[in-house]
Amino acid sequence: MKPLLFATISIFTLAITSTSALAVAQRLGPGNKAITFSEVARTDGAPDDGTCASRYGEGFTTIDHPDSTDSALKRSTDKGHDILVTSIGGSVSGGIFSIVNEYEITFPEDETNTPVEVKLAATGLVGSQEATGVFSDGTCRGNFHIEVESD
Amino acid sequence: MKKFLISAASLGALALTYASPAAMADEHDVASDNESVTFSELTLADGAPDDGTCAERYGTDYRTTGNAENTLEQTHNTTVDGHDIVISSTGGTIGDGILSIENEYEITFPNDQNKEPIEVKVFATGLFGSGSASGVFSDGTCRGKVIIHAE
Repeated sequence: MKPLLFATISIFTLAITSTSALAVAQRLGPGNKAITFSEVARTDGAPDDGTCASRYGEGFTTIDHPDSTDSALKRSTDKGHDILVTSIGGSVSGGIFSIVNEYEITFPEDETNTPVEVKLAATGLVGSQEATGVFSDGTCRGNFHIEVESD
Repeated sequence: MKKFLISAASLGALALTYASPAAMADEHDVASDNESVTFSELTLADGAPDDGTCAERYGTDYRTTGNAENTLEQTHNTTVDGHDIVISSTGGTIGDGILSIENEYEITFPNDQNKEPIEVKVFATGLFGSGSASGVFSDGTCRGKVIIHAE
């Protein structure tokens, strides 16, 4: 039961099956999610050459992706990101939850359309509809906040 | 190395002040470093208002004494207020400049006359080298947010 739940939970995922519906509801649940970034910097401490600012200078809102399937979970954003969910993990226990996920994100301003591997870790209180944590794509890292948009 | 960092990134021994794995490796008495732990947004685990239990347990900050006793079996810590803390489980991920922590502790509270340990779960995330991590905690009865600072 537990591994199955983990495998089907994602902050970017809308693939809700009956078995995962409860766990999804306990974390962030379905819906569009507003993501904002802060303290964005190069992972190695070097000054940003503009890469990090262009990728994470502005937040975005994740929305349904038309090509998402059960075998390839995808999300899109209001800015035109293409997001493939590659790994999902975390826990729900005693009213708190954690999220440890990985994605391949193609950024809208990248003309080469090269996917960037992004991992993130976040925590939150069940029912609060929000989570905070950290992210890194190997080049840039920082804090982020995610909030479920009300309908 | 990875395992060591993760097990060190705990309430009893937080690897947050170290900017790089190399610096970490050079530091042998990591476990004796102090941490201060601050709790906020205390409620019952289901989100209901605190009936007093949570304020009594987590109403004050914790500050470890730096006299951690590490044995093969366990890491044992105490706080200046007389909490008795055993790290019962550590986990998490670290890499690309970010870290996540999923730890469990058995805490005996100074005001508990029965001296009955309570299991407390902590999920937290941080930027490597920042000296702090933030996240959530739950003991099944109380939950809230937590900030851990290496001093």
